Amino acid sequence: MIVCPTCDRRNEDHYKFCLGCGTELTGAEREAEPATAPAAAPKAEPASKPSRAVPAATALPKATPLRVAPAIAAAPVVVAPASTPVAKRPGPAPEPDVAEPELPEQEAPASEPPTAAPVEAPAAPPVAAAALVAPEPVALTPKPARVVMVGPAPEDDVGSTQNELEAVGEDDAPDGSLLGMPPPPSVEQVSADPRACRSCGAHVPEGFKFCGVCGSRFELASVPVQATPAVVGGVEHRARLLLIHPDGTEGEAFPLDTGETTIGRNHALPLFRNDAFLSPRHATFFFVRGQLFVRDEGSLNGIFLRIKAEVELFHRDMFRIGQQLLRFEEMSQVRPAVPGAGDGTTVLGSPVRGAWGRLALVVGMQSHGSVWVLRRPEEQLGRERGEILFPEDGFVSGGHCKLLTRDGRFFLRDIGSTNGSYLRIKGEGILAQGDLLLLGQQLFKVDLLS
Amino acid sequence: MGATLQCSHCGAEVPVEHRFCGACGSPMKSAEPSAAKTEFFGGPATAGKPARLILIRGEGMDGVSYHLNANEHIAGRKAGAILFPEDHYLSPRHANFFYENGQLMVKDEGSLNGVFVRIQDRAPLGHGDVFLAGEELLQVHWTELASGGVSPDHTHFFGSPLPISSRRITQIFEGGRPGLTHLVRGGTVSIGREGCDLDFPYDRFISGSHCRVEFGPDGATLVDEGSRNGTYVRIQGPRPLAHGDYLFVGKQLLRVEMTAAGGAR
Repeated sequence: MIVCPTCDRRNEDHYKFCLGCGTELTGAEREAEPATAPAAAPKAEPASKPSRAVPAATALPKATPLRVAPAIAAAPVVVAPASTPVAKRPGPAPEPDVAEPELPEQEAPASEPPTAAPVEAPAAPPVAAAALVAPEPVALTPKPARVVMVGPAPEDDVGSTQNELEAVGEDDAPDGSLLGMPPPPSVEQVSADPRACRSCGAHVPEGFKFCGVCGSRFELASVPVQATPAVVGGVEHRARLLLIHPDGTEGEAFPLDTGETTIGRNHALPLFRNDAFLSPRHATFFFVRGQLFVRDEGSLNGIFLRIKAEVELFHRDMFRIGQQLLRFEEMSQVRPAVPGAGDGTTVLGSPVRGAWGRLALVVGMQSHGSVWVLRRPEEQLGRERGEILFPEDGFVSGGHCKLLTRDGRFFLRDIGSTNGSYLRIKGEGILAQGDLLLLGQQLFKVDLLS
Repeated sequence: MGATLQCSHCGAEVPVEHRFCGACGSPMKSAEPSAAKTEFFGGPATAGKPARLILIRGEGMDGVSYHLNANEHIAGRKAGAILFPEDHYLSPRHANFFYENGQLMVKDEGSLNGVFVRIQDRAPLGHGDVFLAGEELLQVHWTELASGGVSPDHTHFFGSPLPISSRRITQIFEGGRPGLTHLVRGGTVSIGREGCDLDFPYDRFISGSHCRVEFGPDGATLVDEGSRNGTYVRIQGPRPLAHGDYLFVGKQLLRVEMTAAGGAR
């Protein structure tokens, strides 16, 4: 804590300016506190903000008296080739397909030997890559039934006229498959019968798409995996996740093999296990035709990918700059906070005057702080310059990014910020060499080994 | 207007000779007109009655006056003596102007958009109260913002740092969508077109410095800064009206005139 010499307000260690009066904090006022742990062994700090829980900051590039830096702040400017796809942006997240029969989750026996996946599984949909070979033993914690929110899930700040609570929307769902994703595959299954039903184990004859015993959809793609069980010693690493320390240096490497690798708090690695901001099953990395993907497993805090230049934004997309978590809302899709009376009376209010969006500062799972109305064709966000300012966030660049609208579409453009702008991946995203990912409280760089 | 009785069912004014209410069809209790007559025509209650409402800004009917000679006067889009059939911001039955012990009062009849009365200088605001400055419809809140949170699987939410204050002004757009939310720094927020803590540069009806909200330990106070068009608070419950008061029902701006003080125009 830094106690402001002017107004005595207690400020977080990494603040450059006092939250109470704006006085520049030199760091000399900092209260004595135990040294922070090295980044390689992050302490689990369940209560406070992740940015404060990220240990071990040393000198930032900007050489400010920062001691504890959020991971996002330390991202070195890594620009991948412009031709690489930024991420799969499938448009507005589809609603969960309620009618689709879901495969029941299947728990694999814990004694199951690791099985190597074939190097290439051509044409195999990623969800069916059936063998998981984790570089570390994966904690096979039985997973509770997923809470799938269906039906008219509250999406906007609807409800009370007081407009107090933000309903938990699709992005905030604690553990819900709201992103139109298939249920996670039972990755540990191994069966002697290549055409065994993944749900009940019954044999499914050639040409059948559904199990005759239980009706589950038969996953053809599991065939090649089972056809080549246990390539002994054939664990082949195709990519790595490099932990990025708050000072920008690269830390330990976490290998990704050709199968699926799910990380989360259930993982055995302390790096993941101790991160209170990771969901038990948070993200799955997998390859399709040599291309690395990441899939959000319905995590609470999501996967954020640093954008290159400009990306399209859709209603309720979330992004991070500095320490700020922001949600874009397309005005035409914002639901009324004041419901009508149904008697032909129009709800009174301020003229909208061409506003095309809202930008909400997300504070809690169900609450927001400031909300800005987006009206100009370009609205700039920054610490010092722009229409939407975060003067207290030293990790936001003076001019950081812009929100734009063109032809009825919406975009987020980074304008050369030091620490980057990170967009939350919806469902699945394609990863390219050098991509930077925020997972829980850690920052990782994608390193493709080829 | 002839002598009227109030319908016991819907409150509409019904001429005494009518046996059924013209608004709702309920039978009138014509058998006991005497008690009602005492209430309506005799006694000191009539002393303050001769008030009227002048339409200041409406739909082509500016200057029209509504004489409040009866005991109750319903304003609405479909019902009542003060009828604005074209103003879709009015509920079918919107407000009631009535006398209580000779004092003119106004009451919201459960309308969607409410009744707004111009504040004289300052007025207390409760949590969730709504006020009108220029064309901006604003609401004040100060309950604590819940930061963070823990999901059922014990994952902690990674949100933005908690704002310094939970005091905030929110904007309601026409149609009911939420607009901006302004977090208040310190104890006061000034509101206007330019140079204020909270600016609405597009609003032609808001003054440069229009009003301010002062937050205290027990609530908030809305203070008009001498604005040209005034600051209006949505009323809760019955409110007495005085000569010269301005009020909005829907988009209709009305001024209260007491005959005794204001005279006929």
